[in-house]
Order: sequence, then C-alpha cells, then structure tokens
Amino acid sequence: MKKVKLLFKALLSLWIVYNIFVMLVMPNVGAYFGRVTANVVTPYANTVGLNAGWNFFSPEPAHPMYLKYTVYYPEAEIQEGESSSEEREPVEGFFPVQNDKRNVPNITHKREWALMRYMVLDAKRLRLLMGPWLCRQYPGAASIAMEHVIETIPFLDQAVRFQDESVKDLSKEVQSVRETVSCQGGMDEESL
Amino acid sequence: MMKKLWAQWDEFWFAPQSLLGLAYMRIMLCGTLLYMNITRFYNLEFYTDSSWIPRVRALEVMPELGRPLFMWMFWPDSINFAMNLVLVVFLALLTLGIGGRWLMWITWIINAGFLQRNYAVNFGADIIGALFLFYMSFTQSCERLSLKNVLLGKTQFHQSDVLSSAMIRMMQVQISVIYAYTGWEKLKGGSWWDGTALWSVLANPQMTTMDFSFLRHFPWVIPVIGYVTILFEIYFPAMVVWHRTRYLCLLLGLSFHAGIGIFMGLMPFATVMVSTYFLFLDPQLLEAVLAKARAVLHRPKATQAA
Repeated sequence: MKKVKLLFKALLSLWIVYNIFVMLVMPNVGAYFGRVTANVVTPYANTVGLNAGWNFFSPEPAHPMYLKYTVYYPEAEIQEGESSSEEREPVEGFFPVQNDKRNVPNITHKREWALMRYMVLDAKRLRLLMGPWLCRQYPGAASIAMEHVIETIPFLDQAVRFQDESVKDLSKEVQSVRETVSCQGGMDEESL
Repeated sequence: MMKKLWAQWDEFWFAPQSLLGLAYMRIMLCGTLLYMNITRFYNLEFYTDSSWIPRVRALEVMPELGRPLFMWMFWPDSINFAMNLVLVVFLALLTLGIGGRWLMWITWIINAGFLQRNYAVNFGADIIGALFLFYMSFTQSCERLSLKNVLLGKTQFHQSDVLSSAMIRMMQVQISVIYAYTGWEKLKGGSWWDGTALWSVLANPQMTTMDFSFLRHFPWVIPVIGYVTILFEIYFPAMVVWHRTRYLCLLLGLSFHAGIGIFMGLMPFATVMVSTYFLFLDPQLLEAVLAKARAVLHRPKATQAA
C-alpha cells in the first residue's frame, strides 16, 4: 500500500512539474520556449483551458470602439411609367447596439463587446463571420459595409489642461478595419 | 540530500490540509459560475449556427496555437437549452456541497463545451472560472460546508488526501502565475510605464459603470493607483508566500477586485479571482469565522428556548 502511494506521488510529481511548465509557457507561447515545446505543451494546454494569455488591460487598455455598418438594398428595377419609390434607403447600425434598451443581463453586453473586439481584429473575421450574420439580420440586403470605429481617449495631460471641455469633445474618431460583404450569392470556402 | 529534498517536496505538495478554505472557494466559484450560466439562458442563440460562428468553424476561430484537439461539446446545438439546464442544476448542487469529483468533472466538461462552441464571446471570468473548476474537480471540495453534512449531522471531517493537497497547491501556484503575468504584460505598455493607463480605462464609458472624468481634477491619483496595481500584480506571488505580507496582499487584492467589480461591472471576474484567496487564509481563522457564524445562527433558537 505504501509503495502504491509512493508511486502515485511520484506520478503526481511528474504531472505537477509538467503542469507548472505549461502554465508558465502558454501565456507567452510565441517565445522561444513556447516554440520549441509547442508539440508537447499545446495539446494538453488547449484541452484543459491553459491556453490563455493573462493580458488584462495590457499592453495598452483599449479605447472605446464599436462596429459601424451600413446595409445596402438592391436597386429597384424601374419599369416604364413607375416611380422608384420602392427603393429602400441604406440602413446604418452599430454593433453592439448603442443606447441598448434591451432587458438583458450585464453579461450579455460584456459578451457582445468581447465578440466585437474579436471581430474587428481581422478583416477576414468581419468578412467570414460578422458579415454573413448581419446579412441574416437584414433579409433582402444586397451588401453590408462594416468599419471598426475607435473613439480615442485624450491623453491625461490633455484632459487636465482642457478641463472645460468634455472628454468626448477631446476624443477623436478613427476608422480602422473596413470590409464589405455581399449578401447575395454563396460564400467562398475561405479559411480563417 | 535527495531524501531531504523529497521530504520537503512531499510536505509542500502532499501533506494533509484543512479542506475548509477549499469549501469556501467552492461556494464562491461555483456560485459565480451558477450565476453566469443562468444568464446564459438569455444568450443560448450565441451557441448555435444562427449566431456568428457556425459549429464547423468553432475550433477554427481560435488562434492556431490555442486550438484544442477536439471539442468538449459532445451534444448538438439543438439541445443547448437542456444542457445548460443540466449545467445549472449541477452547479447549484456543487455550490451547496452536494456531489463530488465526478459531478464536478462532468460539470467542467459541459462548461468547457459551451466555452469552445463560441470562443469569441468568452471573457476573463469564463476562462479563469473554467480553469479553477478543472483543478477543483480533482479535490474533495464538498467535504466541508455541505448541505449534506447538515442533513446528516456530520461533525467529524477528513483532511485532504494526496490528490486534493496537490490540487490546492496547484491552484495557489496558478493564481500567483496569473497575477504575475498580468503585471508583466502591463510592463510592455507605454501608458502603464507612463502611469496614465488607468485614465484610458476609467475615462472609457464602455468599461465603467459611472463617469470617472472628474478624476482629471485629481490627476495624481491615476498614476498612484496604476503603479500600485502593477506592483501588486507582479509581487503577488512573493507577497502571498511570505506570511508577514500575505494578509496585506490579500487585502489589496480584495480592494482591487471590489473596485473592478463595482466600477467596471465585472463582478463575476472579481469573485472568481477572490475565491482563490480562501486557499491562502489560515484554516484556524476560517474555523473561527465558521464557529462565530454558527453561534449567530443558533442564538435565536437559544433565546427562544430560554
């Protein structure tokens, strides 16, 4: 019994060393140790949830941002003697919804913000994931143009110097990633 | 020499420990996950093909080096409601101390399945909560502070077995590594060095629950809190190991997370992180708190009887 316990402790000790190594390497997996040990580290880490980087609000905290989109509808075919009154105007929207009045838990908002931040990091994600979803939200749409808008927070020194102005007035709007998707026709089998 | 080293290793990782701290942690962690999974009922469409991420792309959306070998989500999207209900029931049982390693294992798998199904909607509390649930699933977390003990009138409790002891230590190491990394990552940022990073957080209406722009009238507060945050995070492992600074460090952490929870609306993240603090508290202190709580609970009965 004592031998079995000792063997168990020995095996557990091996796992302890391995797990600590994984927990130290994974947050910085792109570094040398991560690159050379990726084959033995990542399958385990990715299965149990150790595949995270602990970079909260870092290296720089994010500025206020959102996804702005414009939905375009097909041009109406104008036949002789008819007016073009059926043509639908483009619709502008934001994701996440601004001034959200929905009665949902705060976590829903957090999840939508997390999703938006994930999407705007790469135009491909907008094209392959966000675009098709928006097309489904607006049946009949021809295309959707999306852009990542960042409202920069003024530097602290600036905010202190111009105390009479609101932070909003001191901030600047910057457009980052832009992408347009067609809502008509099949999507390419493009990988992410 | 080797014998002495092994004895020290054995003592550190495998010596029996009180399971009370772990039980407090279980209540806080499982309670938080219970709340988060109840709110998931509002968002079940996030985990279906009608959302942003079709099932076939669920793993593909993760960074290449972070992709699991397989998906823990063994059920089809169509029964998400039922699976979330099962998860909520299991978490409720575990919060009450009913269940054990197997129940927590299954709970962890279902929870991990949801997290993998839509990786893009996860935030800090999901990731860290799931990680600690994984470690906790190897422990005797329901030995203390359990409804079952109350119903059965159990008054004698076991100390931790070898596996539970190792996992309690591993969770202590894990939380220390998380803090240290968050501090190191901040050092990469110019605005954290500059002392103004916290301004970008507090002046960001998307991140806060109230308007903090008044802080520009007291600008020195911002770098002070910013530097204290970095020092706290980087030195957490050292401060929590040394008994003289342990309680100061935990108190700092508590205020830090209370601030994040209240003013940034990240309460689940705060409670997940703080739940691990129970593992660093003196078991005698925890027993004393429990005894006092029992005394308060039994006082009205005694008064009634008198």
